[in-house]
Amino acid sequence: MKGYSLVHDLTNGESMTGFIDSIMENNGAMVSTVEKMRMGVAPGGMSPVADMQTGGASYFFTRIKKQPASDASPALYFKKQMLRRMDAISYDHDAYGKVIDDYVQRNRGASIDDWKRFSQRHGNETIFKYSVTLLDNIEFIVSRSENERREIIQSFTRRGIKKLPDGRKVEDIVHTPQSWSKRKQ
Amino acid sequence: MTMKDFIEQEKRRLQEALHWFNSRGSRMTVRESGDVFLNTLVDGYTVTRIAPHFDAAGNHLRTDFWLLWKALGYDEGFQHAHTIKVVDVRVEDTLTAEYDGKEIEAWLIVDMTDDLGRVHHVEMIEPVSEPELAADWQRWIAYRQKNAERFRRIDDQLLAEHLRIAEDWS
Repeated sequence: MKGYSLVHDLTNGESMTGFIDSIMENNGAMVSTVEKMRMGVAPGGMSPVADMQTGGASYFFTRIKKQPASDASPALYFKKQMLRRMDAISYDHDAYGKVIDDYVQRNRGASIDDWKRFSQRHGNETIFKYSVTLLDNIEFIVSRSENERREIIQSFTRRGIKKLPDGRKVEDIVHTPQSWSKRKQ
Repeated sequence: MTMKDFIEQEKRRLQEALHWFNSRGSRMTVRESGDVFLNTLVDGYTVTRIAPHFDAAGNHLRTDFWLLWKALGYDEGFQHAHTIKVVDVRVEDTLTAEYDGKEIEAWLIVDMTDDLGRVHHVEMIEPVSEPELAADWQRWIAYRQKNAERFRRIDDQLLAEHLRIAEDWS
């Protein structure tokens, strides 16, 4: 599955830097709605209830996407190897995070061919139980601007992180849409 | 009328039919094979794409459409905004509304079935009989207004993403 990633779009209206800072300050993991509540992170406005009923509130959400050749959208791009996790559940559609009854058995994709096919539908859904640690699993971060890119790198280096556990330098994994095509694979 | 005009008119007609849900708030249940698995308040609905069907003589039969809906609290993550392809609509009740200077019949209660067979039952929040839901809705609207600039950014981003989802849908 060369050239595919698990993409998490930020839609909370915050800057990417603020988001990365808050992740690093909260045990370095992307967490589900349930985990946020357990950690005492209150929602700003109202807590969405729909995924409580489907079971999806216990999961962290991503989408399988083929990496574009250029101009990648600002987002967090996680390593496709996460699809091997036992708790990874992939659907070819927006399933509202449904994991109850026999829905998972009936709809889950389980092969490379399935996952590649799912990626062709932009509304596909891949979810992970409870949390995904950032440093171990991040493949690329795409920021909105060069300024933001610098701030994100500083967010890591301020905490003494210059390299990721896989040996790559932080500055090599943080990009802007413009620098994306120069990324090291 | 050109096909482009027809599509724009039909898209507008469907968007207008959602007037009460978008202006007064709505609650939605989703059922699959008879079982309700989701029950939520919805911030709003946007028709992003339509697919009209015609008979051999060119008469308009029905229109499938792609609908973006956002649950209350959708600023907590992209997974709270959804696109569905609606392939069947059953309207149970309507109410006259003023829309752009004209009178329209907007939906009060409707069942929308998507291409996966999931039935989305939507009802406008009724403030007299559902005061708690109406209060939740009002709290949400106040929160949105207080954070208008942030929500403008989120809405623009979600709309762009969901237009892409609808357009790529085969």
